[in-house]
Amino acid sequence: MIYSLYILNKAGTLIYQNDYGPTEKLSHNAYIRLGSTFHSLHAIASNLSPAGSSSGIELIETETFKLQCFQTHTGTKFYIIADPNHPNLDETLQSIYELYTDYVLKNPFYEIEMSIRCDLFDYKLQRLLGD
Amino acid sequence: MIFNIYIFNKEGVCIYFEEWNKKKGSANTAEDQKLLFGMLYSLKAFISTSSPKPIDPKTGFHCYKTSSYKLHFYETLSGTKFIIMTDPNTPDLREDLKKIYSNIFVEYVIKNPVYQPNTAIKCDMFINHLNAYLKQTPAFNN
Repeated sequence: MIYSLYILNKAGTLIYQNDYGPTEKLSHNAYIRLGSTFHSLHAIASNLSPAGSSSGIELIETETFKLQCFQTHTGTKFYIIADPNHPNLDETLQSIYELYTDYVLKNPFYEIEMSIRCDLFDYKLQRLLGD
Repeated sequence: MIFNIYIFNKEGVCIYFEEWNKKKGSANTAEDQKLLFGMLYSLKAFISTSSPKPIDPKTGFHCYKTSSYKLHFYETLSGTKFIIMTDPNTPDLREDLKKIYSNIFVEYVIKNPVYQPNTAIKCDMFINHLNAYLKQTPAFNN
């Protein structure tokens, strides 16, 4: 079960958020705040590394969910919140990234680093994550 | 491989820190300690807001992982926090953190009559037992 997907641009601003499972709805501002918080946690975690240079947070495990994050070379971050037992979140994130390159970046009306409003992207994500 | 251990009291003061298998010089440990506590504080707030179901803020967070290390977290009911950093492939160490708390911390620190609560831990018995315990775990040197 995948609960939600967040996409942050390289500055840490939330550019996409959607829920796919039963989860409490928050206000739009709360989602933006969560996105920025994650961006800073990600940066601090890589700073705190006891073993040389490190990436930021890749996986958070908690009692009720698991958060898996994927950062592209250009700094865009994708993270999904899923059930703690959900397998292969890595692959799911790769597929989401492919959908993003195909239906967002190749969309001539999409302005880079701005919020994503592409119907085709929504539709494909729903098909990938919504069952 | 275990890199280090941090123990924070409920006010966020680091009362114990030790490192093993050191890879880089830690020039400003005190800064790191404050940064770590601050980060965990925000991380816990982040987790309780992000969680799809109600979550207990004390026991909810288990661990996080980056490309070069993994942080294991255990918080007692009284707010003392035990943190161990290991390499990313180590399995969950929260059971060990619980044992460190109940069998070593309580026995040799809390029950030590000359230990002032909420001050830095300098009890030899605690340090020796902690080292002995961690060094026999399979995670220590792998």
